[in-house]
Amino acid sequence: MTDLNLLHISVWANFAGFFLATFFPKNWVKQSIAAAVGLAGIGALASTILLFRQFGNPAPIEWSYTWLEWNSAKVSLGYYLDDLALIMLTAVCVISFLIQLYSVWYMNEDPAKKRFFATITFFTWAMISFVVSVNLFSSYIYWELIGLASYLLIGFWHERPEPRKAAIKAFVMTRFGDLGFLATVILLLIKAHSLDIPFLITDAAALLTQKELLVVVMLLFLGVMGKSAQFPLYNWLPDAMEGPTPVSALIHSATMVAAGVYLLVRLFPLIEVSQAGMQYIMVIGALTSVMAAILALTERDMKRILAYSTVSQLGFMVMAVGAGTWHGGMFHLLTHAFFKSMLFLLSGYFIYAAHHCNDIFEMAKVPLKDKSKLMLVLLWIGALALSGLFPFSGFMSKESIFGYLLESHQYAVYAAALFISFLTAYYTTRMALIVSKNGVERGQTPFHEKGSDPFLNIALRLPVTLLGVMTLAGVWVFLPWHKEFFHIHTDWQAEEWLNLAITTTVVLTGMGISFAYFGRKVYSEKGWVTLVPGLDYLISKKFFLDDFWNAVMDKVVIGLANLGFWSEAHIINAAVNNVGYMIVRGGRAVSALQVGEVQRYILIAMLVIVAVAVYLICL
Amino acid sequence: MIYQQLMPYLLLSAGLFCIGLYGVLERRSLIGILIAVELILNSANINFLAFGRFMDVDKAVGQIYSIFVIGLAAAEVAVGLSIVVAIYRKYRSINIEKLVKLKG
Repeated sequence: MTDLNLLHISVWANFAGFFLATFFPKNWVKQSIAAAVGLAGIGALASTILLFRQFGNPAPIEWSYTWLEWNSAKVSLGYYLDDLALIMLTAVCVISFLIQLYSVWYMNEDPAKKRFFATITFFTWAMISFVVSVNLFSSYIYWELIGLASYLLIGFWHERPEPRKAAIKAFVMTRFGDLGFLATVILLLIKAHSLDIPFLITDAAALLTQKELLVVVMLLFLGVMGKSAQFPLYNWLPDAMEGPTPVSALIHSATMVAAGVYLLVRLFPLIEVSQAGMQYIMVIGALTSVMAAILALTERDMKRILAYSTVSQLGFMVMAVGAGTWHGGMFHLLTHAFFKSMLFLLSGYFIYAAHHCNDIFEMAKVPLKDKSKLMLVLLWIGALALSGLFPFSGFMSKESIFGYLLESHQYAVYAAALFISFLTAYYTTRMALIVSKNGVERGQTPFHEKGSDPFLNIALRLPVTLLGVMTLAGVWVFLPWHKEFFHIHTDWQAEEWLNLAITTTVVLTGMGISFAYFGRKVYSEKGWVTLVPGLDYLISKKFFLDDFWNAVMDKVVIGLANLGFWSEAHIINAAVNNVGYMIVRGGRAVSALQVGEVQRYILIAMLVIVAVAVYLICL
Repeated sequence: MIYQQLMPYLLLSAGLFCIGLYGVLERRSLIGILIAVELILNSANINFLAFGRFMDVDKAVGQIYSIFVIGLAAAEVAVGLSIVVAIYRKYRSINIEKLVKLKG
């Protein structure tokens, strides 16, 4: 079983699952789910084996099939698997498999679950193909496919109007960003004459001037802004929570939104040459992170808190990449994928426990004895990882970023990152505290788990447990292998200890304030936000970003559409019709010559004769 | 008076031709049109006679042509008038404006 074969298996296993789940007969539901989840498991296994065999190997696996070729440029389909792609591939495969397993429990009573598994395996296949893609054009194709899968999955419950609107909003906003990506592809094709990723990350930077490079970076970042929910294109992500929870876990926390960050890291050698571009990326990342963190401070819907948290963490990653540490950004992407997806899966459980209500204050009313102990422990593990407390995985990845920022003397960014960390710790602890409260309301019917079916029980508990184990121990257990890849130095000088002290203080302060407000029997709802004048109002209006985009849609987009409609009716149609009318009128005019009046005919004949005679005389 | 140049006779002929042409185009009665056609024929006759007198040909040439034309004119009028009678029998009118069957 060669490494290339393993790669083929991990890429195409999910496609096979999608194919079978789609084309099995309508009543083969159990078989479709078995095929989808089983094949996803095989893919995850293949990628894990490949990881153990191939990681650290300086020679990447390359395989391509040239599809189009002209001059020196090629569009090809294929794989380029270096360490970066390999580690992302494994993470995506494993997390997707675990989430599909969880979906067996979550979607158990949904009548359309066959369609769900077909779509989610389709997404997984597209995401994996994007990660290992060798050519930027095929990356773009898969990028669009994951956007399509996101649309299909957000709008999965299309009988209700909110998921439909949210799906369209997500698709249109990310599509808008994709224009930037497409422009980048075209620009690179023209200027660098090649779209092969191995070439782009080594030699392409020399072929472009600084100005061209800046344009490339900004256009590429426009694509990232759309897909990875950066300012100002982030407001589709909270609305995307209308989709089923496994979808939120997979797409909108771990994989699809990470695709933008992955793209930046993938093309980092090309991007880092442009200083201005890097600054731009960093500023937008920081801005997004702070804005989203503020919006999470008073949110009541658990999934929305997690959604804003995702936007904020994505901004954090993007800021890290813009500041120059691609390994820090990538490290955080991976740890975030594990604990955020776990948190989302747990939210699915707690929403179920609160009788299908997303509000954390409703969850607070459910007595503790009716909430699974395992889930509560995992919730706190995830919350502490997200806050960045030692020894959880989130701590290591955030430390990597903080350490780099200090080393490179980017103190303003360091301060911003500390502020974000403080807010993150605060709102995450708020959420965890309120969800794990012991409700004392009378009249709550005890919650019976679906645990009667042992298989469903495993489907619920195994994925979250495995993700929790990875969150707790993953970084430490595999440290000797990934130490070099993520530039982790274990020999700490005074500076590193100082950094540890500062960041831990910030995190503990945030947690402490949160405990003060929400830890007691009688707790407030909004915490210290009410103390800052105007902040609550700004948050409730979501910084007016939704209103802004709605206005843009109404005025600009629909205005353009109306303009097009009018011009089609009055200009194009009119031109076509007028040609017809003019021919008819011309015919009518000419037919006026043939009225049967003989004298008119003789007149015309005489005039012609005179004209000819004059002409002949003048000759 | 008898002019010794060609031009006055040609001008007369041209003038008569134009008057006849005007009559063909403007008269509403079929017979009026036939009269105008006669005028045109007579103008041609004058042309023949004038050229016969002033060109370097046998003196009789122009005059013989004229006699032929008179004869032909008579024949043509005979035919034309019989057509007019036939038209009158069918349409009860010889006003040319009423004899149009096209509706375009």
